Amino acid sequence: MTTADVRDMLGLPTDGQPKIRPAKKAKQEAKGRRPGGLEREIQSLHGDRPAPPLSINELPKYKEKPKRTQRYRHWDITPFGNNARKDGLVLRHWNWRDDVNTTVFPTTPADSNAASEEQDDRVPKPTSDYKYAKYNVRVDRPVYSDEQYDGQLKNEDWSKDETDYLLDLAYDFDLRWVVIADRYDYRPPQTMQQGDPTVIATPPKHRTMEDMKARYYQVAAIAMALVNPLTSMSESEFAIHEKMTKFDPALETKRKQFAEGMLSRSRDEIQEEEILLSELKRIVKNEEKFMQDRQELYARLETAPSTTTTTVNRSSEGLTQLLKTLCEAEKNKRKRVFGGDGSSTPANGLSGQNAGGPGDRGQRHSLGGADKRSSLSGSQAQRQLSMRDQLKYGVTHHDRLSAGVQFRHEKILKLSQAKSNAQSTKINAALTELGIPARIYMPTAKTTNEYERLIQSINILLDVRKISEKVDTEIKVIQAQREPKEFQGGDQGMELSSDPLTRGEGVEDGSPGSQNAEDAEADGDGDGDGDGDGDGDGDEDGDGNGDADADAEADVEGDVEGDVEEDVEEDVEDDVDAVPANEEDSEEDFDEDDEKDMVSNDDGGDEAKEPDNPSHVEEQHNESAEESADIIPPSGARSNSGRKRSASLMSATSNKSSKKQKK
Amino acid sequence: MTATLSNTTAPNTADYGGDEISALVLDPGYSVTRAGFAGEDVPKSVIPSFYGIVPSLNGPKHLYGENAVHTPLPNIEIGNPVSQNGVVEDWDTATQLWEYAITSRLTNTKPSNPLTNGLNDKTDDLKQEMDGVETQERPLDENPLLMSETGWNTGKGREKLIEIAMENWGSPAFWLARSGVLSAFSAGKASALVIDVGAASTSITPVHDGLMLKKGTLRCPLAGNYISDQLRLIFSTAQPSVPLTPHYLINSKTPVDAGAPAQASYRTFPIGTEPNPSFRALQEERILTEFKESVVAVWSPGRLGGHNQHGGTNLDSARTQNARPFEMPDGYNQFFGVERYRATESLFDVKMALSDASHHAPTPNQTLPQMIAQSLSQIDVDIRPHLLSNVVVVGGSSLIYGFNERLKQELEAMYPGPRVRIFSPGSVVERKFSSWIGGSILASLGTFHQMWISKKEYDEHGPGIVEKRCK
Repeated sequence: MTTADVRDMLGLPTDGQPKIRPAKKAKQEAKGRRPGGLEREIQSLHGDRPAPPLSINELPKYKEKPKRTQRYRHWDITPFGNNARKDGLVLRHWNWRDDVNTTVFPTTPADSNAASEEQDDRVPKPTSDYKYAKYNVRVDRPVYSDEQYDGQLKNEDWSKDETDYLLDLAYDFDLRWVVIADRYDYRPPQTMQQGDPTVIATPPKHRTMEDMKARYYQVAAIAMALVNPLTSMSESEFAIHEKMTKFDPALETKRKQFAEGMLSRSRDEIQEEEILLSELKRIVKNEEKFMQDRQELYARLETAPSTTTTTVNRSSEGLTQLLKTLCEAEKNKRKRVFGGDGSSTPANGLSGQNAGGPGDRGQRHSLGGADKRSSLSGSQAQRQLSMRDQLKYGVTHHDRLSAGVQFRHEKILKLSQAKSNAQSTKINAALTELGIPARIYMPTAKTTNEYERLIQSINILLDVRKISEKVDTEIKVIQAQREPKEFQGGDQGMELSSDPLTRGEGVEDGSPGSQNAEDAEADGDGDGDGDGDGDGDGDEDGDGNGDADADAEADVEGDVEGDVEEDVEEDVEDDVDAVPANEEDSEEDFDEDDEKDMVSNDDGGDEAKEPDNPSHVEEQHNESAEESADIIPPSGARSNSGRKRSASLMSATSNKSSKKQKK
Repeated sequence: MTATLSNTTAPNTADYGGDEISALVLDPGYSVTRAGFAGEDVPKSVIPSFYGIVPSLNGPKHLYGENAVHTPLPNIEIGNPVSQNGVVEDWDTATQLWEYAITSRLTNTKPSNPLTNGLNDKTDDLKQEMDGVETQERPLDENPLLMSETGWNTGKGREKLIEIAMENWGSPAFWLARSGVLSAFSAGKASALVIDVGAASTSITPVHDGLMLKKGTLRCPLAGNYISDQLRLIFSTAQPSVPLTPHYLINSKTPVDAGAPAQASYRTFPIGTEPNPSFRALQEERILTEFKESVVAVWSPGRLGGHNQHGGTNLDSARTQNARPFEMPDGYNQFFGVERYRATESLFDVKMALSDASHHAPTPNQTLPQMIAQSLSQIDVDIRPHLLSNVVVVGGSSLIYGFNERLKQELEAMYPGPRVRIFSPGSVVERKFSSWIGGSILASLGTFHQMWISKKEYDEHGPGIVEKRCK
């Protein structure tokens, strides 16, 4: 049986093919795996070379295992006892299996031995000394025997039973007094109530914490002393003893009341306190600075006189030296002020204009006219006060302000004192008549104003009275003059009207030639009739100047035109004015005063000088006299001396005339 | 903190001071009971304090847990072992409920066999322990238990608690702490004025050095449930009145415009199997809780009944702004403007309280600022400023928007002198479970382990020991 037969039987293909197969297989294997799909196409593109590595396949690296230096330790549930407990309770906790006693609970071997020995009696299982047992700390309870209690600890308020209760409670709560006071609930023992059934349990006394503390400390202190006499106490023990004996429940109660008050403050009170505290803080903070400033000030005050002695300045040389240095200092000061002023308002044109008075510049600047106005307007812009408010706050507006301070009483005094004593007395008389004191008690702004007005009206009154007196006397004078005029008037009038140019001559004719200029003048002034004559005389004499002439001429012309009587009257009036020399003076004084006031208002600087300079005042007097005399045309050109003379002469003539009248 | 702690090295004891003994912390409240292991930051087991009662052949059967309470089983009735003022009334049920809270999540699953899980190599001790596990009869045999209680718990109630823990549960050690104190601890403070606004009651607890001050501890019913009642009154008096239909009654609903009547098909129960009205009340409360969480706020600048700077009343300005939409389960939806603020205002201002025949208006002394003032007046003047600068606000109802701002403002108006500072945890969990967290901290402290009341002590002294020890 050949293989062919077998093949035939099995229905396998005939030979020939199998021969090829292994060859093919081998060929294919030699060629390698035939790629398919996309891979094949890539390979056909790439050729026969081996494919490049497409991806880097790396095995993931894990973290290295931690190196454990210590070996694994077994945990066991181990039973343990607690030497802080008396009942030998055994609890179990997880613990290291090894070195339980040595590493986890490090205790001194002696202790652990002792503890384990103790516990071995009670606890069947082996236990260790418990590490937390050391925290089991209790306070000492004061101990005393009954005899000791009866001997030293008796207290009317506290029975022994209650004392014991208190001590137990204090021990139980480890002297936490808050809790003790909270839990304190002493009830007298039942036996006492049973003994006396009629007395049903007296209500337990309310004990405050302070009561309890006081009693406890009392007992504890005494018990302490019983155990350990004071003499043998250690320092700390004695300190505790002293503290306990010195406890004062009343003080403690008071303190608690304060604490309660502190706690129940209102919000406002707290705020106030906060503000005060912050203020205090601020003060304390600044105290150092204040002290420094003060010391500096003291140093200045004290050292200044000590540097220079007055003995140096005794001599004249020293004095001049001192004066010099003072002047220098003053100058420097001024310069400084000036410089400061200039720097502060560099663009102010006024500083240049007012350079005349550099000394006062610093102050003047604010008070000066232009500046003041601007500042005023500024202030007005800032605040508009109603009239009422202005009165209330005493705000006044002035066109001009005088420098320095003026007191109202000074002003009043000045008002009531006229230049002449006569006038003053008259004013005072008027005031007393009105019942007003010369010096006002309350010189308010209002009263001062009123007073001023009053004085003015008094002055006016006095003036008017004077004028009325004048008029009276005038009338009398005229009446007295009328009679002589009726005799001579016709001639004179004739003369005057006939030829004014020859008037002088006519007068000359009429008057004795031996008369000197003075006489002529006196005649002219004094005699109502001889106006023209006098002038004429003057011309002739060459005393008067051209003006006087012209005046005289005009007068004469007027005279010519007007009626004679009027002219005469006018003259007389003027003359009479001048007659009572005293009165006139005083009046003038008064006017002048007013004037002076105005002047002083104009310039305060001048005011100070004026009263000091009597000559100047006199000059002014004369000036004002002249001014007032200007009304009298003829006298205008006359010299002062001449006028005086004329006045005295006039009085003489008026006297004469009055005499004549009498005659 | 967590970053610096590694599982290979023990934390520095000086920083930490902790020593965890896997104690259990149980914090029962009116609406929620919290339980967990000490040392953890959140209670692992949080269950409603409500329980379902369904009839069965063997008499009424109690159902505990979230699911049981919210399922509309036939004839289901809802009960609560804790009364409205936070004191336990039904001790048997309370015990079962708390046991459920602990065992359902914390201790019921037995650890896997340590022989096979490869965690431990040494087998001798473990065999012993295994024996212990096998012989375990009572649920809490291994773990010390720390429980919280209200500040106004009676002495009897406290003794009952230690009895349950020791006798029923076989705890090796027990401790009872005031929830206010624990809340202060959770804020990291030994002294604080704790204001806990819970579901049934608001409490003020002054804490000094980790000890509650009894005279200053006050309680008032103006809390979450009171706000719910106010909302009910607002809804019923609105024109038209706002329907309050719980989810379980809705089959389907269609969207409607704001203010339009609801278009929903309602579920009907066969006659005789309807859930008890108490079930519906609880479900309504859930809607109201959602409403409180999303809509209700406290008017913060000034009082709602007062005037603003512009002369207008705050009521008017509340009307014009900040309206928020809310959709009821049946599709009814509406914008609530002034109602948002109205419901909470009477916590601070008694004049704004709504009342009717069944809901009495609170007295002025029950408002928060007045309560705080009363509380502070009872305690020593020396620590009042310190307490005012350490006001800790906790409790689920304090999460209402604007509550803390308003409280601060009221306190500052009352006490302008001392500095008022409010500490309130930002996270919801910390706010809601603050007393549990405080308990967790306390029970995991190494220094605390000397304070437990051990079984031995209990056996010696009886339940009265709790009054002596847990001050």
